[in-house]
Amino acid sequence: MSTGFEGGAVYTPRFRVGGKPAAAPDEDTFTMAVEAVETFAAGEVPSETARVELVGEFAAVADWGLSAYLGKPVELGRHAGSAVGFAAALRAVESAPNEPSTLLIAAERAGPLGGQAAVLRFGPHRAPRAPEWSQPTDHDSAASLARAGLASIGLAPALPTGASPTPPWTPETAAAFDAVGSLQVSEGAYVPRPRYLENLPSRWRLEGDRCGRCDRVTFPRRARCRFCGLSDRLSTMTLPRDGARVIAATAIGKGGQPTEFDPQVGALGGYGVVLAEFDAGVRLTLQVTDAAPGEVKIGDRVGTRLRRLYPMEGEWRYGRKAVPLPE
Amino acid sequence: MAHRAAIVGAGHTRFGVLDDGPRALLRSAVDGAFASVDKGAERSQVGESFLASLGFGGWQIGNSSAVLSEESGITGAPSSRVENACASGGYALRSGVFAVEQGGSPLVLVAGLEKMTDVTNARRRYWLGVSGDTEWERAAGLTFAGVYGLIAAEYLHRYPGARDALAEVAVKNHENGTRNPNAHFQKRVSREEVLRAPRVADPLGLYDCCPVSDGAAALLLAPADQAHQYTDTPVFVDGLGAGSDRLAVQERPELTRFSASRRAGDEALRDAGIDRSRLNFLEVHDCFTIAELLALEDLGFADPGGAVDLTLSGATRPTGRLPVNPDGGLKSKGHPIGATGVSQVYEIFLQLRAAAGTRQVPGAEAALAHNVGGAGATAAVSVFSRG
Ligand SMILES: [Zn+2]
Repeated sequence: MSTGFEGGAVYTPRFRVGGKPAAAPDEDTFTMAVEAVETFAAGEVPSETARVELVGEFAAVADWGLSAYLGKPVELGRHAGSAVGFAAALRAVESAPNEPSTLLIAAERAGPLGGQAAVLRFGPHRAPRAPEWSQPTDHDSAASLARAGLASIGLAPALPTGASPTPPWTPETAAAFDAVGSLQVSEGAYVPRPRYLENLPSRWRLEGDRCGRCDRVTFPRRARCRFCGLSDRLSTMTLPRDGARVIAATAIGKGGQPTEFDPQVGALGGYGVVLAEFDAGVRLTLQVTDAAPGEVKIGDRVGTRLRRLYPMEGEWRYGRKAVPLPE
Repeated sequence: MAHRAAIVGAGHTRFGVLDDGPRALLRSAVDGAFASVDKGAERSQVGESFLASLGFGGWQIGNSSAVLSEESGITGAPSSRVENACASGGYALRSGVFAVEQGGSPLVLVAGLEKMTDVTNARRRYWLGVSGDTEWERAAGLTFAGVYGLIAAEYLHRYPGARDALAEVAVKNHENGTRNPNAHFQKRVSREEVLRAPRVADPLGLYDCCPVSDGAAALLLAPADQAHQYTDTPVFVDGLGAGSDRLAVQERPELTRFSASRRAGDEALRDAGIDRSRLNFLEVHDCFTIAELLALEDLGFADPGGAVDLTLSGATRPTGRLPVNPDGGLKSKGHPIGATGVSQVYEIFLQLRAAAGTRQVPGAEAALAHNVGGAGATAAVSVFSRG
């Protein structure tokens, strides 16, 4: 079967356990899919995307979350098996060759740890180097197939080998964090669901407003410049995924956390929080992930990643957290 | 100097984990305020009242001002709740002074109340976080301990040696608390205990944080020119100042200075027409040890970073040249949220009447109260004299 993808990217978690990539406790298939998209698009949402075929066991949030993340409605196909998923992506492109791109996003999270994700873009301008695949079966891992396809045209790095950084969690604590999602944690300083959703472009994609008069950036967006008060010359900007500097860092220990963070403090023992500043002058308070409490320090460079924050009213809420970056 | 209003009576409950409910606490503080009026005052003379309260735990969060008038025996007179988180008390005093100045009320009652220990642990921590920025700060896993932890982290990064000053604030205020029978804590702590305590929000440990307390306090205000009908030793409100800042610390240009405090302090001192050097002691908002250092700088008693040396020099001890929080402060006396700002003024009322017993600041003639809402989103400062 001839494919027709013209690009893509894979996302591999930073840590490995037993030699295999291991997702952090606060990652799930949805956040890994977003990681793959961000890796692919280098922070820019592919604006021509019209259709997304999801292949794998996706968290429920994906039903509405991908459109919310991309900032526009996309048609969504969900497929448990690889064969049907790849076929659907091809069919979508072949039936409408002049339509905008279709993304195939495959993600898997085997057990509490394992995980990878890949995104392939199928579109009218097919890469001539698109490889031949043997007929995928529904037993094949879609993410592995996508990775292999991308690797064959030089778009996927080899799986890392050698020593992994030491994860700030264990398989047991990761499983405990994962189980948090099934708890009904309703007592937080309450952010009603519509208010959470209203903020998603800022919360998930770090969208702010740049003012056409004073050139400063207002984040989160508040429909007017918070520096000069002007509201009619704002243009949307996106803070970079990488490249904020830590202004202040704390490590929250037992008793210092809001109640909705109780289960994860129970599972992980505590967490770091930083105030980080972007070049645009924007500052953000961010929970730290992929690092032990106290590991990220003042002056360090951090990136932001979409992760699971805490469960509320029967669903996980998602937002960006800080991750350590090499200097 | 012009007096804006006079305090002619003040009452205070114990602060701590108390059996009394909110009604009993209010009754006790208000009864105490009336009983303290040297020449007597009638309930019927109260023309208006203000209740400072967050409504912690959700008990009677609406219309609780009617409970204040009920328990004060002044049902019928207008009453309203003033809410600015931990600065509610300072703002209620401000409202009370405005009501006095407006005229028509022989007396105005200002009461502060919080009942915090009768709810479950989870619910308590939920309420402890309701006054921060819920949409962003809270989602990052921060309550006020965490926000002040960030502030302390940057402060320590800028001013090495500040860790010892934070410990000194805790040691001093605990020591002061042992001389205040109303204080929640009645025990000394050592510098080593402060530094060794479990971290709540690094670098802040358990002894860097104020406790969760129940309590109430009440003041009776009168027009300055009528004060002597009630007492020969009134305490005058000479200056008021207040300010606000952006709710979330991430939207402020700097972490280690509270612009709301600076504005409120400057305004109150200017309003009172008094120089800082003439203040004999300060009541400042030390919800966390770092907050006392920030207060000293924001109020202009030290340059940025200068609160470290000022504190370590012993100047802020009761025997120093500028005693700070002789009643133990929030740190040791306790912090029943709505009651705190009123309680600060209660202490000033005692001190300026030379009635503070073993913790009396000798010769105190003028003082300042500094009350902060949350991590600096609101602040109220007031200046007092004995006339
Ligand atoms: Zn502007």
